[in-house]
Amino acid sequence: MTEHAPLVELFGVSYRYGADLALDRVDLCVHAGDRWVLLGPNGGGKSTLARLILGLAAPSSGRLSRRRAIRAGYVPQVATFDRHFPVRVAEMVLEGRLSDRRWMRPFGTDDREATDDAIERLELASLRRAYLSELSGGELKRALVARALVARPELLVLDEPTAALDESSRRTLWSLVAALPAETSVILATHDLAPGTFAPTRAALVDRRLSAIALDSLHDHPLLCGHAHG
Amino acid sequence: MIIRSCVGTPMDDGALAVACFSSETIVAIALASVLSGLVGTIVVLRRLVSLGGGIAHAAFGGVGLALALGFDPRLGAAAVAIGAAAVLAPVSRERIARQDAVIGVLWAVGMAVGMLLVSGAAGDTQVEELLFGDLGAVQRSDLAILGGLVVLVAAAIALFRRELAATAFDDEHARLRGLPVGLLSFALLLLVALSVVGLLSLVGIVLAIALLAIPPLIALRLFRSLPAIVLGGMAIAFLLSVAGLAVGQRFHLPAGPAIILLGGVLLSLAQLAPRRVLR
Repeated sequence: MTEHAPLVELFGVSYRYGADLALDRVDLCVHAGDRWVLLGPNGGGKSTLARLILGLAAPSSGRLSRRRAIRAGYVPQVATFDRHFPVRVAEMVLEGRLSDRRWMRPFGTDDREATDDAIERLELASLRRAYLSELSGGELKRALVARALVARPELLVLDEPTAALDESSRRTLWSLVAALPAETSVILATHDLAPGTFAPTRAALVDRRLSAIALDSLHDHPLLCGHAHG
Repeated sequence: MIIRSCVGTPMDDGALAVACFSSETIVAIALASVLSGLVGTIVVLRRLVSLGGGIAHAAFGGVGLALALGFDPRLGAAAVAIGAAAVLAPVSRERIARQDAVIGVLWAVGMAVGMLLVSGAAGDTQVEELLFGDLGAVQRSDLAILGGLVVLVAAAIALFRRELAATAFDDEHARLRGLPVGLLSFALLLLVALSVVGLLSLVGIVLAIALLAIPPLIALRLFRSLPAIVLGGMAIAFLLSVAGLAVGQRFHLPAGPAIILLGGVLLSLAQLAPRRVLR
């Protein structure tokens, strides 16, 4: 699949929060079908890199090119919206279909069916009419995953998606990711990857700088202690 | 023909004193209440109350400038309010929250400019009118402008409700979905600015902010769904304004402060109610 133009390319991209350098001259290329895992310690710049890839932040320096109109799904590490906003779970998930409809036109039956399907898959059926303020951290995370999946993303970015999820929900998440179409690119940002969960095709360590990690030694990486093969 | 509507307020001996308002006053309150429900809900949910206050006080400076230069004060208010909305729209929600000092300065400078220029051009009486309004002196021309504004705001919200709601709820996700978030954020602030200006000429700066904040805050306490909050906010704004006006007449108080004080009391009582009793 790498013969096609990449979805996103970063050349020497740096990002600063004021005087603090969060990312330093990062090069990265995301093609259709890539399954990237970005490992790194807390504060290493994984979330910042995820936001740059999605176009939610602009580089302080360097060059970033993105294919136009990428249909992206995003599960943020921390939701930036107000959880007390009067939105029900089903309404939030349905918003994942916004780009599939023209302005001023109501959502269609297919949008609602896709939403119901995502809600079912994420085991949120009993909460579909619940307000976000009524959800636990894990339930909210599952709702965010449902919203990202219902968009039928070409590029899915998961930033610490298993935080707050119980074991059963984690298994559900990884099975849904594994079932995505082969051409869907997935970027997983995490500080901890257990074997048998996400199957990356590329891996990198992000600790302000980005360095490649060989896949065959992925689970032996010092960051992943406690998850050795076996 | 002048039609007058009357409501009763209790007297010391338990009897009801009847307070009467012109039909223009009632229509003005109804229109202002629609703006309170529609735009006030956005203001409260997006946490734009202090920003709305800043725009209102900056608009007061615009009123002063227009009076000093011999223009219609509403034009001055509208120009400054829209200008403030255009300047502030590109600023992200998080930065707006952090820039309360800047909003405070906008608030104070607008107020100072307005008071200096308005009192110089029209006297202290008009300063008080602009601060607290005069619902008893509503003209049909005021109603026409406010009515037009209500139609404009209601049409914009009806046509783009999903896009505006998505941006108001989670602007980051709205951007991912390809919505023009900058344009929609400007549209939201423009609706706020226009509503402030529309309310300014009727109920004054202070009440404009109060009407955009207090009824939706009470509605948020009582209702859960967005349509219920919007409609509840409208009803609460209407009842609050009529009751405040009646209390003002009964006790010979200016209507604006009476409505605000009553709103404050109701908001305090609403805090005692079980959270969002009505789904």
